[in-house]
Amino acid sequence: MIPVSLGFAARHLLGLPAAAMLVLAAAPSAAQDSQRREPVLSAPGGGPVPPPPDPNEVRASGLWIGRAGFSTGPGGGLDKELIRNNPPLTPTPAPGLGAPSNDAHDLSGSWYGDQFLPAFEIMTDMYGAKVPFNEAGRKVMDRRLVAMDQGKPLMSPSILCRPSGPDALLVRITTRFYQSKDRIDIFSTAGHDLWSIALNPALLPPAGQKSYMGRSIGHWEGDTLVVVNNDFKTRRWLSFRGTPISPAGTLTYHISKIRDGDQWVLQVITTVDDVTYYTRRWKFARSLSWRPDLALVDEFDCETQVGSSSGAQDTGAVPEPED
Amino acid sequence: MRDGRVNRPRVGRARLLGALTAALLGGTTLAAHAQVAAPVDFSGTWKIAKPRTSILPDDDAIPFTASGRNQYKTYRSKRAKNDLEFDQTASRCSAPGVPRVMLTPMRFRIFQDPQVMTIAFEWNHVRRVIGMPGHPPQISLFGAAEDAKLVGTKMGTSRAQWRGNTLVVETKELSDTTLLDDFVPHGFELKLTERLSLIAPDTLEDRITIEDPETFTRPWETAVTYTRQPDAIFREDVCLDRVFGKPTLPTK
Repeated sequence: MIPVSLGFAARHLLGLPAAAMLVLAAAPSAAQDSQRREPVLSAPGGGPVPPPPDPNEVRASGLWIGRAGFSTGPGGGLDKELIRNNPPLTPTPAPGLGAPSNDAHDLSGSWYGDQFLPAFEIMTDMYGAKVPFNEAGRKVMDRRLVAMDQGKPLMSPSILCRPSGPDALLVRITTRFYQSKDRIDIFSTAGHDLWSIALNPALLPPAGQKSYMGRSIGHWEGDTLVVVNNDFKTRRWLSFRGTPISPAGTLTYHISKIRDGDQWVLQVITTVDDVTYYTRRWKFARSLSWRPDLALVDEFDCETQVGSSSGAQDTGAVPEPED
Repeated sequence: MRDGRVNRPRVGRARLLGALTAALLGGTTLAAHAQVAAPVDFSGTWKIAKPRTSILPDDDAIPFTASGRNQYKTYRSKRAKNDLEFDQTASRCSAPGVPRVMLTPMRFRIFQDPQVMTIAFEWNHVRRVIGMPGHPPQISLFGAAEDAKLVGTKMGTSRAQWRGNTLVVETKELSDTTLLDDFVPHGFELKLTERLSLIAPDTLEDRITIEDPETFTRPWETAVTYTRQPDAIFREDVCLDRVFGKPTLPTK
């Protein structure tokens, strides 16, 4: 458990708002795990990294816990990848650019994901406990990690310029939320990953048609938007390094707009429910900050960057086994 | 990071403007920017009234420069040989650019607020982002604004102003790798001025003025009309799947 008294330091560590920390503190804990933790290390070019909960954990293919998550050795490919991709911190917005609506049920406006390291690899659940992989899930995850570490990444929807699921919108990129009575639509720099949430399910295409983004239906529980996302057509990646969810799984997002001191944030708690890869239901948390100075979402034309006109096969990535 | 350079947000001028604005407003938090009233709400789902693939009914009416016409003829010739490399939209599903994207036969949805208009197209779920009069000063994240000034983007940089009930959208910084339609080329100096108006409650008109001294001898104009459609969340359309087939991704 992370004590609330850690306050700012702990929040900075995890990149979470204060309200999320309250959830963490109140939750069932992994106290013994946290007592065995190594000292916090500094990630290359970025903030401190929370150590994983069990340094002695045995992983497949020689994986061990490196500075920035699992790797095949000190300074392995994953560490290099982190250095290469670590963006500078984005300064806080200038004052006077406006605030979001005071209506807790109105999420519209511009938001920017706070998390960077946790977007690469989800090393623990939101309570600091191990991600509850079952044997099949651990196999898929480790295979993806080893492939990336060795510079031969496996094909993912993102690498192939296909929609990657809502999770790709909730990391450190710009988003714009539009909201009306019947729907919420979220645009981001991540190209085609338009996340349309039906508050009125009648707006959706007929059920049973699987898609990359899945089918998203939302409703309000108090001041929290609850979105159930399922019907994926492929095995998805919940992190850049490959935390998997199978097409049979369901993701449930609890999204709340909260005021954290002088900052507005969206707190997003994702529940992963997937018996194919996990022994139990588990959760991870992310947050997005209010950023009116990033309202004009930048273009990312993924297809231009695919190798040649022969298309998706020229990415250099390796097909992932079906299992 | 791109090309070995560390990219840093360009914030100086934008932040200075923001701070100045705040000081002038005496700490008012919102948003003189957001208070600009929109005389017309274009929000909703639309579809082109008469599907077409060319920017004008008759290409001979386009006032090409000599070099513009040569390029146009070259593209026609290439397409006749099924060589589509000049057309990144047809060959690899790249974003079509403007105004070509406004000719897509599928639906699009306009999301409008005082700061940003986003046009979401059913076709491959591409979108345009238009800065409305109320948008606040923006920072350039990872040098995106500077890159756009150098080489443009597929959908360009669009800013809008109201003229009565007409929204006038000016678009520049369009990549010269896009086309105006299936064949008509343009250069980096292309400037588009679109006048969006409701000519009937359920009919949207986009009158487009096209200026590009490298490719055309004079400004010229075309118009496209759209009819309102029932609201719906679009089915996922993935162009690469249509063109190249489904990718090798696990389905369990």
